[in-house]
Amino acid sequence: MKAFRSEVNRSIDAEDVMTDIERLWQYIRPNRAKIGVCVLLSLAGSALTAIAPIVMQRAVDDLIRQTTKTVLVRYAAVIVGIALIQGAVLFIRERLFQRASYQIEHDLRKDFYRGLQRQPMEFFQTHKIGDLIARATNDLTAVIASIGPVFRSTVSALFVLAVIVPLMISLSGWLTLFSFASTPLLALNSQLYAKRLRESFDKVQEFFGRVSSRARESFAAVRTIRAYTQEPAEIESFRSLNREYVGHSLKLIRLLAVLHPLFEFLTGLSFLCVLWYGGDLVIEKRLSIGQFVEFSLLWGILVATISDVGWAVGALQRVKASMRRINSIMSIEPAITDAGEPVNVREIRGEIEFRDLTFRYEKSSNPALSGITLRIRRGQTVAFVGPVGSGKSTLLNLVPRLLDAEPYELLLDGVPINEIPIRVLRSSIGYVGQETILLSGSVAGNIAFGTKRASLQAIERAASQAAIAEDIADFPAGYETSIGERGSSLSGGQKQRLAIARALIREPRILILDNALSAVDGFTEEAILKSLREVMRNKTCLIASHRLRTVKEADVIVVLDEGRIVEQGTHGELLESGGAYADMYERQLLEEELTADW
Amino acid sequence: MSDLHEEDATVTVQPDLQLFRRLLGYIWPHKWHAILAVVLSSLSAPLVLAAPPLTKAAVDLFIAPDSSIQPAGLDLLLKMGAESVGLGETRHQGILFIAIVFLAATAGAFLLRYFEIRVIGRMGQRILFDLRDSIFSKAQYLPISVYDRVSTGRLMTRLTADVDSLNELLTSGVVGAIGNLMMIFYVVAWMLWVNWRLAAVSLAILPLLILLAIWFRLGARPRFGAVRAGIANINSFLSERLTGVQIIQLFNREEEEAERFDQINDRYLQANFGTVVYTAGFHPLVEIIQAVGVALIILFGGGQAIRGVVSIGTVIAFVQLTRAFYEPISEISEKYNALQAALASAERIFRLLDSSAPAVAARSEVKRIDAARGRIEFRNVWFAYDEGEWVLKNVSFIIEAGDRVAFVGHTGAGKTTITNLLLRFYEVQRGQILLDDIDIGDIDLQELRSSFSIVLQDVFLFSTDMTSNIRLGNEGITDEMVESAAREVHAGAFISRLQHGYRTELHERGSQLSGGQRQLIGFSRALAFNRPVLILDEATSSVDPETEMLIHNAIERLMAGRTSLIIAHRLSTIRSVDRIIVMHKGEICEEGDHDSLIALRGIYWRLCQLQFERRLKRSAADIGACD
Repeated sequence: MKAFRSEVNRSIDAEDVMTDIERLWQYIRPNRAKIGVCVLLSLAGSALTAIAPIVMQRAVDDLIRQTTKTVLVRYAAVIVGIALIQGAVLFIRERLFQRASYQIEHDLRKDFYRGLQRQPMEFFQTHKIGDLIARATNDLTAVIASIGPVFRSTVSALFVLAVIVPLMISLSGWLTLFSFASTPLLALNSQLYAKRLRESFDKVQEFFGRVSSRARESFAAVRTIRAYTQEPAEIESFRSLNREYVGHSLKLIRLLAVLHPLFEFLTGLSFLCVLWYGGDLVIEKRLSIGQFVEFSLLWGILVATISDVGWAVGALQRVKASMRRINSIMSIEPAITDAGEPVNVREIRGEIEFRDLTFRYEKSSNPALSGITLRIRRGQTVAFVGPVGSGKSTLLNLVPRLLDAEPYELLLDGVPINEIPIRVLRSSIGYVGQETILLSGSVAGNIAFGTKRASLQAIERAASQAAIAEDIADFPAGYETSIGERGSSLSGGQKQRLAIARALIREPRILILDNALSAVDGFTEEAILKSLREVMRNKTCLIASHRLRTVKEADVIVVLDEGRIVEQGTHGELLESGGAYADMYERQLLEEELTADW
Repeated sequence: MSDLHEEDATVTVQPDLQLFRRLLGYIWPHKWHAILAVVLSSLSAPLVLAAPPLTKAAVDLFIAPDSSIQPAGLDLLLKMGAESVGLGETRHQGILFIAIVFLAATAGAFLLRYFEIRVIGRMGQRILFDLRDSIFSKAQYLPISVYDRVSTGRLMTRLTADVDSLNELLTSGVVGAIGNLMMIFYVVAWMLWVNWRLAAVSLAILPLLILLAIWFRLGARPRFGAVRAGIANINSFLSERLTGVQIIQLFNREEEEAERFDQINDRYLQANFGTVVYTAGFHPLVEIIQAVGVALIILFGGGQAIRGVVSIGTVIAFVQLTRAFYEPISEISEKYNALQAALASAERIFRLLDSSAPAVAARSEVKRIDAARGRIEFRNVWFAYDEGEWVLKNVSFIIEAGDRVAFVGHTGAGKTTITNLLLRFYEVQRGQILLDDIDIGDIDLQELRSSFSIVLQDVFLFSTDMTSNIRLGNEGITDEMVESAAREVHAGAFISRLQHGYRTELHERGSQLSGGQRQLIGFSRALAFNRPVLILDEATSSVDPETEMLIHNAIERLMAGRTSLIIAHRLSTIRSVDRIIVMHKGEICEEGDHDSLIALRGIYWRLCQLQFERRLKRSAADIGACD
C-alpha cells in the first residue's frame, strides 16, 4: 500500500509540472481533427492567393503589348472566380476554427470549475473569489481570442515559405534576398520584446483580477458601507486601484505603440529595396513590368504575413500570460482528498474518537487545538462550550474534513478519518455552520439541497423539525418562494432554521450544530431542541454554543479554553466539580437573575 | 432556481447613434487628446499610403516612361525634385531619388504612428477609468433593493467584462477607425485627382459594402447580446457557488452543481456559436467584394490604357490602391465585430447607469442636522419588501433622545426591518419616520446615516488589515483610537495574539475569525465611530456569555447619553433598557417596562418564562419574581 501511495504522489507531482502549454494542448487535442482540416483549408486558401499576382502579371504585360477587351474580361472573370472560391474556403475554415476554439474554451472552463469545487476551505482563504472568476472568464477569453491569430499566422508563415518565396525567387533571386533584408531586424525586435510584453500582460491581467475582487467585495458589503457612510472612502479606494490598473495598461500600450509602427517601418524599408533594385531590373529589361507588378504583389503577401507574425508574437505572449494564471489554479491539487486506497466503508455508525489531537492552521502558528483526547459514543450528544476563539469551530470542522487532522489522531468508527471515502463520510453528516449560506432558488430547493429527489412530505417534515414550517407557510409563495443571493430577504433566524432543515432532511448519522441557533429566539430554540432530541435518538450530535441553556441536556459537556479541554462531564458533574463551567454557569445564572429582578 | 442567474438575453437594439452620442460624452473631457490623435493620423495616413503613388511615379517617369502622357501633379513635382537635387540625369538616379523620398515617408510614418497609438491609447484608458469609476460610484448609491434583486456577480460583470469589451472599441477600435477613415479619405481624394473615371469605378463597390454592414448589424448585434448575457450568468453563478463551496462539498452536491454549471457554460457556448456565421462570413465577403473592385479596374482601367488615356503606372497604382482602399474598410469591418460586442456592452452599462435614479434621493429640500439629538419617531409606518407582503403594519412609537429601547419578538417579527428603514436602506410605503422631528426623507442621506453606529449580527469584514476593518475608510480615526476602541470591547486581547496584531491581513470576509471575534470587531467599529444613536441588531448572538459580560460595561458606556435601539433574543442582554417594545408579525403588540409587561402576561411574559424556565423549575416562588 505504501508503494502504491508513493506512486500516486509521483503522478500528482508529474501533473504539478504540467506546463501551461501542455495544459492547453490537453484541450486542443480532442479538436485536432477539426484543426487539421483548418490547416488544409488555410493552405488551399493561401494557394489561391498566390494565383492573383500571376494573373496580374499577365494582365499588365498584355496591356503593355496592347490587347483586346475580351482578354481583359477573361482576366477580370478569373480574379472574381478565384475570390469566390477563396471566400468559400476561408468561410468554412473560420467557421470550423472558431467553433473549435469556443469548444476548447468551454471544456477548459468546465474543468476549471470542477477543480475549484474540490478545493478545501483553506484554498478560498488564500484565493479571492473575484480573482478566480476573472481567471475563469476574462483570462480564458483572452486565451481563446489570441489563439486564432497565432494559428493563422503560423499556417500562413509556413505557406509563404513554401510557395510565395519560391515564386519570388523564380522572378529574381537577388530581389528576393533584398526584400528579406529587414527580417532579421524584425525577428530580433520581437525576441527582445517577447519577455517585456509577457510581463506587461501578466501585470494587466493580475490587476484586472484585483479590480474584480475589490468590486465584488464592495458590492457584497453594501449594507455595512452605507451604514457607516463610507461610500466616498470606498469610491476613493476603488479609484486608486483603478488608477493603478490603468497605469499598467498604459505601460502595455507604450510597448505595443513601438511594436507595430516599427514593423511597418521595417517592412517599408524592404519595399524600398523592391522599388529601387526592381526598378533597375526593369530598366535593364531583365524583368517585365508585369513581373515587377507580380513581384510587388507577392512582396505584399510576404509583408502581410510577417506583420501577422508580429501580431502573433504579442498574441502568443497574451496566451502565455493568461494560460499561466489559469494553469496555476488548475495545477493545485485539492489538499483534502480521498486516501490513495480508501477503506471500504459503506455506512457510518457515528463513533468519534480524538486521540491526542493537535491542529495548526499553518505549520508555524500556535496550535488551534492541542492534546484533545475524547471518545464520543454512537448516539451521544456532546456539547462544546468555551470563550470566543477557544477552538470549538475548528474541532467541529475536523469531523466532516473541512479541515484535515493528522492521520490516526481522529478516528470514526475506529477507522482513521482520512481513510474513509469523503463521499460516504459527508453524506452521513448534517452540518450547520456559524455563517449561514443559502443559494438562490426556492425555499424547497434549498431544504432539499443535499438529497436526491426529496418528496414534498420529507421537505415539510424537515421544515417542521427545524421550526421553520410556520414561517414558510406565511411566505408569499410558500415552499416555492425564491430566495435572493445569500438569502438576503430572510431574517437571520429564518436563515439558520432553513440551514437546520437542510441538514435534517438528510437523516444524518452525525449532526453538527456550530453555534447554529445564535439568531433564533429562546422560544424557537426550545422547540428545535425538543424535536432534535426526538429525531437524533441513537444518532451522534455535536453542538457548539454559548448559551448554557442549550447545552445543559447534553450527555457530555466539553469545556474548551485556548485549544485545550479543560473540563468534561455532564451538567451535574461539572457543577459539582466547581470548575470553569460552574463559574460560567454561575455567572449566566446571576445575569439571568439580574434580569429577572430588575 | 433560475431567475436570479438568468440574464435577459434579448437586447433591445437601441439606435447606435444614441449609444455613440453617450460614448462621445465620455470622450468629450479628453477632446484635446482626440483632436491631437486626429491630427496625427491625418498626417501619418498619406505617409503610410506613400507606396502606390510613388510606384506610379517610378513606373511612369523612370521604369516604363510613356512619352505620350505628360507628367502632372505629384509625378511632376517628383520629377522637378529629382532634377533640383541632381538626380534627374538617368533613370537609375531617378529611381534612387524616389526610393529616398519613400524612405523619408516611411520614417515619418513610423514616428507619427508611434505617437498616434500612444495618444489614443492614453485617451482610451482614461475613458475606461472614467467608466469604471462612474459604474462603481453609481453602484455605491443604488438602492439596496437593487442588491436584493441583482446578484453581485452580475454587477461585477458590468464593471469588468463589459467595460473590457468597450476597451476594444475605444483603443484598437478608435485607433483603427480614425486612422482607417483618414486613409479612405486620402485614397478617394488621390483617385479622384488622378483619374475621376477610374475612381468612380472603384467606388461603385461601396454600396455592396454598406449592404454587408447592414446585414451584419441586424444579425450580429442580438447574438453578441446573448454572448454578454451568457458571461454575466457564468459570473453570477461562480460568484455564488464559490462563496457556498463548503456547503456544496458538505452536502455532496458536487455532481449536481457541476452539471448546472455545465448547462450555463453550454448556453454560453451556443451563444458563441450563434455569432460564428457572422464573424466567419464577414471577412471572406469583404474579400470577394474587393476582388470585384480589382476586376472592374482591370476591365475599365485596362480599356483606357489600351486607348492610351491612362498610363500603365496609374493602372498599377489603382490596383495597389484598391487593396489600400479596401484594407481599411475590411479592417473597420473586422473592428465591427468588436464594435458590435462593445455596443452590446455599452447598452448594458448605460442601462445600469440609468437605472432607478436613487430611490432614496432627497426630496424637495435637504435639511441639515449638524448633530442629531436622537429623538426617533415612527408614525403609522407600513412597509413591504415585496408588494402586498406587509412586514410592518401601522407601526408607531416614539423614542426620546437618550432613551434605551429594546425590540423583542420572534424571528421574522419585523425587528430588523425597523433598522433598515431608519437607515433609509428602504423607503417606507406609508407613514413617516422622524429624527429630531424631521422627516428622514428630508435629511441629507449621509448626515442621516452619520447619526447611527450600528452593529449587525453578521459583521462584514473586508480583506484588508484589522485596523482598516475597524476604521473603514474614515481617516479621522487614528490608530490609537482604533486600538483603544478594540481594547474597550475586549477585542484587543485576541487581536494582539494574532501574528501581526493590528496589521494582520484578513482573508476574504474575515474567514479566519470566529463568529464571536467578528462581532467584537463590529463593536470596535461602532465605538470608534462614536455617533449619537446606537443600534445593536443581534450584536452579541455569537459572543459567549463571558465575553458578553466583559463587553457589557463597554456597551453600557456606549449607551450612556445616546439613544439606543437594541434588538435581542437573549433577554439578559436587554436588562438595562428603559422600555421594551414587543413585536409580533409586523405589529407592535406590547410596550412598556419589564414589570408592566410581565404583569400583562402576554408574549413577553411567555418569552420570559422560557428564558427563565430553569428558575421556574427550581421553585414556584420564582415565578413570582418573574411576575
